[in-house]
Amino acid sequence: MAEFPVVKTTRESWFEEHPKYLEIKSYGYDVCLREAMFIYLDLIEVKHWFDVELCRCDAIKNVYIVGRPLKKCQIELVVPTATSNLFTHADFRRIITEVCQAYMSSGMGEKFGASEAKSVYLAIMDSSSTVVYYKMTDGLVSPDEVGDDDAEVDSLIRWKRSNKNRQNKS
Amino acid sequence: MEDNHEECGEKQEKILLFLSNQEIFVWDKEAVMMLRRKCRIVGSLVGSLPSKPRQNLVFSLPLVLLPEEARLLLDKNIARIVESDITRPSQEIVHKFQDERRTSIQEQIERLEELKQQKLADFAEIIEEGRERVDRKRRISSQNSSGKVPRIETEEKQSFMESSSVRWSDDIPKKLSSEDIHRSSESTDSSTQQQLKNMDILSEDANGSAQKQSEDISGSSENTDEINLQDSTLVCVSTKSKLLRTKDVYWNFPETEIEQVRCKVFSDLWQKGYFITNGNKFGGDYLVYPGDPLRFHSHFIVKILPCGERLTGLDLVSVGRLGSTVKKTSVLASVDSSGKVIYTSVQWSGFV
Repeated sequence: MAEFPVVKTTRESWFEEHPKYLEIKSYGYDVCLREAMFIYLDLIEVKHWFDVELCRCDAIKNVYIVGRPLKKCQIELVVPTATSNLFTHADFRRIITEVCQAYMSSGMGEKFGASEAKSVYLAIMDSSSTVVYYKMTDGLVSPDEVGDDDAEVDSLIRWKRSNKNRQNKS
Repeated sequence: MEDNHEECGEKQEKILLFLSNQEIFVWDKEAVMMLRRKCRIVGSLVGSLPSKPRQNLVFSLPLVLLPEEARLLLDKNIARIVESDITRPSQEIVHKFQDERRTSIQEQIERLEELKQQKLADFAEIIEEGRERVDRKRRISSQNSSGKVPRIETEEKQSFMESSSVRWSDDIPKKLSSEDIHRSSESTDSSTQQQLKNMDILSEDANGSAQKQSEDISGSSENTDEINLQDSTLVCVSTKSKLLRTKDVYWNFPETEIEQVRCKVFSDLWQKGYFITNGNKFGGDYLVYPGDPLRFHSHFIVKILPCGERLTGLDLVSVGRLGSTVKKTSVLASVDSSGKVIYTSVQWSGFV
């Protein structure tokens, strides 16, 4: 956090003058500005992801967010969109390939341990600020290979953690 | 698999697909079996069962094929599309047809008779018990005056207990042998005994004829498994007329662009070795099974997107969400500009 200047925040300006918001704005992409910021905050503040970083992908003119759901999880790539955005099938495929490529070429793959990115999470945000995450993968992925078990382990770990916190407080 | 298809194309006659009212029907049971076992074409049965017409769980012939399935069979040279040629039948053909119909009806009557007798034999003991009870009651009521009501009641209760115990012990009525029936009938009057004896003879006859029938059937159709025939309860009613004349017809499918895309995706999935059925159960275009749909759950719900069709985020959610609740993967499929079929899997993930 040291590289960012400390900004005086007010009730009105906390979102739109957030350094990350300004950073996204400076990229000059015309899509998903608020959504990207919101989802970035959702991952950090609500879902408590680790190693969350905001990156840019010029090919799709959008930002993407990397992070791991848990400390020991693989890095996942999240692309923010709004529910009203329109996509063709080709667009979906371009998002997957371009974002994976951008991630691999950015050198972050090596930094976080070489993991070959094949799928991208599409974070779809509604105007009611509901966010849903859908994993998009190229080709046919049989349902056995779904990381359902991972998700269960995740939720178990989180549940234990929150339980501990509660006990400590009381 | 590929060799198999060529084989069946060469060795056997092509399967006849009947085009009627823009739907493709298969009327031959052997063709249906072959399509399913060797060609991985499932279709859907739509006919009602003659013996159980008022239910919609199990269906019988004819089999309706998806247009994509029919197109694939044509392309693989396994089948041909025909129309029944409606002409005035000759006197001879009419006679032949009526003879066949008569024998079929006779066979069915015999079979039903046999089933009826079997049911009677199964419940013989219970019926006997009921009769005995009524007789006893009558006797008691004629012997005694109205002063001894309580005794009748206890006896009634006892007999009720007996009958209920019989019910329980005869949980599997098929085990009831004819000897048992005789033994129980000894105690009763001679008319019932006579009736039961008659019944035994009848049921034996029926058994014999049924065996003969099944032999006949298995003799005539070598392709069908004998085990299947033994399991099947009814006389096989033929739905394919041997005397029907057909003519080849031209079938103009696929015509539109979306039909072409559907055909391409279908045949691509089929080449990968999957079983494919209509996907309207889960709101998609196809359901894709790793094996026979009777033995496996489907893995994918395929939604076909024509080139250039745009989805909103909401559409994506509606496609993807159902798949996760039924442990399937939702798949978007379309054909790209180079003519290759492309797939994208969509899976919901609920990060906590």
